[in-house]
Amino acid sequence: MPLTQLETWYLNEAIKGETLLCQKLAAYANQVQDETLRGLIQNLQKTCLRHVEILASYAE
Amino acid sequence: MSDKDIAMDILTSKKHLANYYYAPAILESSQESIRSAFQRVHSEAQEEAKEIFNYLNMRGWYNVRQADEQSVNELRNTAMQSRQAIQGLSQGMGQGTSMSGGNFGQTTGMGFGSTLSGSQSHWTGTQYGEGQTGMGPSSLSQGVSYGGQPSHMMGQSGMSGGYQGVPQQVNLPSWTRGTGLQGQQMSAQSGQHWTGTQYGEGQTGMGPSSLSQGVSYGGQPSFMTGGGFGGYQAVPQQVSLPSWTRGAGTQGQQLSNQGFSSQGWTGTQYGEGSSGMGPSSLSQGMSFGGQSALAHSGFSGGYQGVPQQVNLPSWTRGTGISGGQQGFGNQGSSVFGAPSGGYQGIPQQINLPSWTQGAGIQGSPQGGFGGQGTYFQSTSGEVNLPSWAYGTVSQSGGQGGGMGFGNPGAGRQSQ
Repeated sequence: MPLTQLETWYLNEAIKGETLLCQKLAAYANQVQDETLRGLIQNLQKTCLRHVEILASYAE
Repeated sequence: MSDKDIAMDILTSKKHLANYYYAPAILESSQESIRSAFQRVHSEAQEEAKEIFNYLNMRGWYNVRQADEQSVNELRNTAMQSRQAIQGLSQGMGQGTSMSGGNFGQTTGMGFGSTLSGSQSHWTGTQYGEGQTGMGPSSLSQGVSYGGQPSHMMGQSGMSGGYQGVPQQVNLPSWTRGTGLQGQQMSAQSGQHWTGTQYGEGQTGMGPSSLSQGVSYGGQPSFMTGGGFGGYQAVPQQVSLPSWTRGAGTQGQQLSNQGFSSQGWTGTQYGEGSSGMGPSSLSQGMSFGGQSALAHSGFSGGYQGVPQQVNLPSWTRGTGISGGQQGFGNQGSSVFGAPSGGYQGIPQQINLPSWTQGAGIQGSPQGGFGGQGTYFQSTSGEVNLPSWAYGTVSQSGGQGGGMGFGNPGAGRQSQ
């Protein structure tokens, strides 16, 4: 089934948002001092990458 | 950046994605697979946001403030009033109940009813949105109608009383069936200050909700009353009106002075940007602020809204018998002379049927005293206006019947 206009728009924006967040998390992981926070960020990175994959799969 | 700053930024980013993209996307997705994907991503984003919040909160970097006593009391009052209103509504079922200004009364508007609303000297609009008075990202802000509507849909003139809301599909209960033949309604609202409405996110925003559909509020004193049947105001995505709405009313006379000689801003903030709607393309069907007299003269009262797709039934084909009307709105009289009332809204795409070009028996006398004389205003999407919306109607919008003083040149305005 073809995507609707709204679905396309939200997918596009969500992919861009998650991608930006992934980039920020990658930078933050090297900056933080607290190990707890670093571990949290690393987990978030994994989730973020998975979200991009999920969302991008609908663009194919 | 400190760890606190980084954690705060991550939390903000998560909240932004969840609220502004995933939540509305869930509601707007028509395909189940995409909807499920958004739901999954949204749920995980919420969980992760909570983890970040816990991290910040445990370290005292994100403190939540307890509600003060006054706020709690207001909440209790609101809850109590809402319960009472709902009880009154349920008791009024089948008795021609009308809703007005958030109060659910039992105004049995059959026959020759009339209402008169007094003047208001201050802000009569409504702040709507999250933040100070916000609605939050709730998807529930559908069909909201409130603020500065002194006298409409009181059940005076219509065959069907009135219904105001934004259903996606309209199934009106039987109690809305009225029996009035003549309706006279007078509305005098002369606000000296801002009578419009702030609508959007940001300062008073709507949040990410894609659900801000069909909102109608603010300074609409008397509309959709003069026709054969009350009025219907809504912004459905698809309109399926029941057969009983086919009215047989004869004359509707209406006098509306709202917005006339107002000294303050009576308009409306609408759209994205500083007071924008956010990413949502869903800000559909809002109608508010300083709209005095529109969609009256036809046989079918009026339809006001912004559906994505309008499927109006055949009864809306105008053969209206002279609904006299005088509009002194800020925006002037939007669509004059159209045989079937008017259409005003902001659709993404409008395909109006051919009957809108038809030959109804006048909507005169109608005078438009619009500030801009604008009768159609669009913010998004593609607009296919019928031929009557151009040229001659533009003229009549500003100078209908030789009485208007609007700017006839501003027939179509896009933001």
